[in-house]
Amino acid sequence: MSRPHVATAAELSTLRDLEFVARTTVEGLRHGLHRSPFHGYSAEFSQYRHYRPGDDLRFVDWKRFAKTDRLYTRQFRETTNLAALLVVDVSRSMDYRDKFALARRVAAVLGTLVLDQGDAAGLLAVGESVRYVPPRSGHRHLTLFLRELAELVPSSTTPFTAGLARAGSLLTRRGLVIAVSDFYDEDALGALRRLARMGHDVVVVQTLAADELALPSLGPVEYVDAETGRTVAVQAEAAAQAYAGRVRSWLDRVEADARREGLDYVRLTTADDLERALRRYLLSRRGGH
Amino acid sequence: MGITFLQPAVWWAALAVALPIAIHLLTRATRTPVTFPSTRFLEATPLAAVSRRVVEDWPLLLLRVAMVLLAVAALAGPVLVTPAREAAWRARVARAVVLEDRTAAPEDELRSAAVSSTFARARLRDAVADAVRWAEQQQPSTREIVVLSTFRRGSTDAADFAVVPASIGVRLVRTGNGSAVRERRIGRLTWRDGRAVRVTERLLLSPRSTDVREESAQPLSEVPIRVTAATPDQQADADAALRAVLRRGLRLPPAGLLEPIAVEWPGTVEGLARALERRLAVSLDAWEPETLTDQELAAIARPPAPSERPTPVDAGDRRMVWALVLGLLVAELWMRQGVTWR
Repeated sequence: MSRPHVATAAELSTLRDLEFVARTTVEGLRHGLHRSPFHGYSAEFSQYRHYRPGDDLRFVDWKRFAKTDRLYTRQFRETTNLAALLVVDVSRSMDYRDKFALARRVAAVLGTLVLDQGDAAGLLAVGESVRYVPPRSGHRHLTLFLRELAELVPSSTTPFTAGLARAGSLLTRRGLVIAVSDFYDEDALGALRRLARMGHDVVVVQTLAADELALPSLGPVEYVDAETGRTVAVQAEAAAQAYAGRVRSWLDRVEADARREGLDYVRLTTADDLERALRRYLLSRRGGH
Repeated sequence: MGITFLQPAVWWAALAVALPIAIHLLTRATRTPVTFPSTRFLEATPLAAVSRRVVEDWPLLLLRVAMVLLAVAALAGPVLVTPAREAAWRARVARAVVLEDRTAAPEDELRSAAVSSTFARARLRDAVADAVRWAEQQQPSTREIVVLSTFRRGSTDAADFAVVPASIGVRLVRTGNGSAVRERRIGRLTWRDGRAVRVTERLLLSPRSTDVREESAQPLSEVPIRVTAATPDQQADADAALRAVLRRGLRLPPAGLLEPIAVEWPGTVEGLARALERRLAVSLDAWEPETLTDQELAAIARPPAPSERPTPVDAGDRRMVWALVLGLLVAELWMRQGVTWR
């Protein structure tokens, strides 16, 4: 069965060699590469703690008892698999030039990466209707994931925050939330902050068209806000400098806010080389562990 | 090689270049509606103020200005000044042909001129004055007045040509039968030996002299002229005055005095003489054989003054400029289409 086309085969395959490693511990059902937030009894030693009545005597460190004359129980860190939920913004502001295509490609690449490494990936897009693919693993699931992704249309008036709130209620276990949006919704970062405080590993992927960073020289233009319908008549050449400055400070503020909350932040524009940008991000993410 | 204009005053219309510039700067460009992800970072710009300061499409503006200037140039009558054309302009002649009578002017005089006109009036000097007025209005570099006449003495003289400007040449061509010898007979009534006599004289008219000889004298039984006074007292005076007039001689028409005539007594001898001359005498001007001499004509004639600045002649160069305007118009349309397509 062929995959629905949302990302080129080259884009999907070139990043498979990278492990998508969650920086924070996540809980999961399957054993995998990711460290569990729960200190269970699997193979990887984590720490000692004082023995408490009821502890399994198999994990008492008798050698240490002989040296210190105190009882210590060995604790192990359980490795589990990752449940990643990609929340994609389908509001109308995403429908600008190749911006939504970029968001879809990013989601496709990251979802494929997660699934290829044996973890679970799901998709959530909340517009007038809710499109939800629960996080599951397996290559058969990838087909469903990509097909749903391909059918998304950025025509919603529902704010992105609604999708993030829905993600919080859908994720029963701690996992990875990848939010792909332009983040014109000012409340979105607050919703992500709440998800992070629920224990989710949150990645902010801000996708923008290149024209959004610097106004193209179109002469006199009546810009119509895609979401509010507000119109602003501007002489593009005259307004370009002030616009670029405001956008730059806004982007810096979004990034600073995200990092302050301990969220990963990736900014991608349609002019960027997607593979290079994602590789840089994933390598930096793995290097953080 | 240069360029000149037949109507340089039209260049005032070049001020019309301000029109496309003003239109270009003042016309508000059509606002293009563009759906944009977010307008929160955009502030409205006063479009008109910007458009007055910013020239957006220099090539299009320059094209329109060039189009207006070329159109004005075409209206001003551009003429390319080449050495060949200059030589041709110097050879141009405007010729006014003055005729003594209304006979047709010689074809070669008319054909050899770039522009010509003929003038014929009852008096030669009037025709010359007309010709001068016409010649002064002509543009070509060489202007001349050609007078075709027998140049009878009295019909014209050097004073008639004093009104001709120095730049206009005068050429006098003797024509007609002025040199022919003509013979005329003329009657004269006179008073000899106490009675009226009809004298017949023979006039021999040659170009250089007039010979008058009496051929015969016929006494009359009575005077064929009766002068009637208002009162019987004045009749004697009237008859005496008639005798006095006849003693001086009274010229008769060529056919003679066939029937007796009657005139009223004017009161004086001179008045009676004038009344009878008016009644009987004929003009002999047409018989005048004497003509101006070649030396006299040569003194009047002069060649036309060569013009230092020959007047350019319309050679249809404006058509070429109009073609350029048309080409620019097509280019302008193409550019505007191109802007739309962008």
